[in-house]
Amino acid sequence: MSLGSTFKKICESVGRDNNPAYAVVAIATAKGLCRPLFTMMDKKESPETKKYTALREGLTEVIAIPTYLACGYLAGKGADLVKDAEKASKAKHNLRFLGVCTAALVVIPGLCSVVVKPFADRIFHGNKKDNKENQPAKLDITSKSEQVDITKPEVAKTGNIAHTGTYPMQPIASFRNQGMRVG
Amino acid sequence: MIGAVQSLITNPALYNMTQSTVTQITTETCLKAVGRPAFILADKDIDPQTKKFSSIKEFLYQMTCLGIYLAAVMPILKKGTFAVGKKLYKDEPVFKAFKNSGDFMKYYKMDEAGKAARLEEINKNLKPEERFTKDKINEDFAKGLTEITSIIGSVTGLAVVAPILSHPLIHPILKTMGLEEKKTDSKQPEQAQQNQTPETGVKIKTVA
Repeated sequence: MSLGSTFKKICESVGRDNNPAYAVVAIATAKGLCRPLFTMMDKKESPETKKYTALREGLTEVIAIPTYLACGYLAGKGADLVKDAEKASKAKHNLRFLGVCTAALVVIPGLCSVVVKPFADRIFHGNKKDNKENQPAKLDITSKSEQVDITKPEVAKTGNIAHTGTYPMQPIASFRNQGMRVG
Repeated sequence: MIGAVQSLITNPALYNMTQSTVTQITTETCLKAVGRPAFILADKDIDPQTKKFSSIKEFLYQMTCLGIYLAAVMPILKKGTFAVGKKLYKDEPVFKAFKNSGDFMKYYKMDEAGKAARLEEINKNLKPEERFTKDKINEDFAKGLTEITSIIGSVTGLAVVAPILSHPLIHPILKTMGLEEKKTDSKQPEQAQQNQTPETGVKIKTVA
């Protein structure tokens, strides 16, 4: 079978019944590849922000693809309740469409808000924690210092000098000629 | 109640409408434009200013994508599909009978009487051996090719062209709304705090 006739058969199949999931899955797949790529190509953002954003965008589409397929398939199953064959085929298509719409409106945004952020945070901040240990220490200039108690050392009483001041006095014998100090 | 639901899901008008990829994409993008900002606004972990900024940005992004898709991608596809079909399948009567996919889709949506009248009109200026009959016109093939090129166009338009073109359009709108300036303003106090000289008596502490 040539490529031309295969393509013709695919076209005829799509022409008979254009499943609503085809288009959305194709777009989600392309977005899953292109959006992180464009994000990583952005020169204005920092590398860390780019990686985090690209990861979140990629994960969103990874969730979207199976959700579209599952919602379309499950909604289409509802057509089994319709007994008339002609009506059932129409119901199947319409229900698939409604399933895909529900996925786009509620299921995917809901799943993404529940799964993507914690998952991306876990991957990203998990790596960050490991990196922190290897990073040089940063200076904290905002915290107040702890009060240190300065205890006065006890001075041995020699008896040859009167001890009147607060500083310990040295015995005369310990004085040496140190010369004149300037400046 | 069950009867109303059944009549909705078996509705031929809805069926015909949703067979078109353009309708599917348009509906889905409109729902995304509503659903995604709504979920961003409902998130309690984000501060109100960021929520407002992100939701408006998402809404504008989806709307610009849809606008670019409908205004730029679809007109090209309308002309291009049958041109490709004529090149690949030269002997296929359906590509000889109709000029472009728009012309074919008008025929496709007609009832039996309408289709017969349209074919009669096409056959007027043709020789008897060249005339088209309803059996010769492979509707499924032409319809399928139209939908497949529409899917390819949607993928190219929404995943490649629109994100590139939407960025220069969205940012001026956000600036006009004062959302981008406010975002930069919020960064200034943090920087000012970092530039402050530490007070006397303040200890320089290391943080791992």
